[in-house]
Amino acid sequence: MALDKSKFEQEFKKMDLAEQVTFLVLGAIDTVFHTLTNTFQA
Amino acid sequence: MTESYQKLREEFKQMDLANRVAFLAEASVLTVQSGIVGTLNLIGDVVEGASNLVGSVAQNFGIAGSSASDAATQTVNRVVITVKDATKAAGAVVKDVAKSVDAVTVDVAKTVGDVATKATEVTANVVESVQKTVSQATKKEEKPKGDKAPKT
Repeated sequence: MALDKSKFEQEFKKMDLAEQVTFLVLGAIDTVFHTLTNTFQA
Repeated sequence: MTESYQKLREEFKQMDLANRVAFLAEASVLTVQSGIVGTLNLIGDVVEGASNLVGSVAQNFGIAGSSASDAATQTVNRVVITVKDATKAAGAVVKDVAKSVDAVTVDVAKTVGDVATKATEVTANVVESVQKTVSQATKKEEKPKGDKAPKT
């Protein structure tokens, strides 16, 4: 992992609630697309 | 968006699936924690504000403060002080709870992140072994086609 966990936690806590929620939603969408892309490529 | 957000997004895009899932699990716990801590701090501030308001109202109506002399105003003064103390204590308690939530959820978030990583790794391993098995089975089936029949 490029960013270790404690650093991730620190960086994540610097964001306000709105940003945290945005990060979560966009991250989830990204992950779904990433998985779909990999599945179709395989 | 802040610099932290941009940095984390960039890091996130470069991760593999296992780490992404772990990050998302940990991030969701931290977000819930932020919401709870924020709300508790807000309640603490409101309670402290109410305490200050009680003091201000009492002073503006002239029923509290150093100028109060007779028995009735002194009693009101004591009640006001008691209410102020009680609300300040309540505010402090709420803020302490917020701090405890903060401390507890850090460990919970780490555990959730670790569990998610393990689960995703296990899933990835299972998928890999299934793919290997299927690929080996396909190769075995293809072999007899290439073999020539022995001459008699």
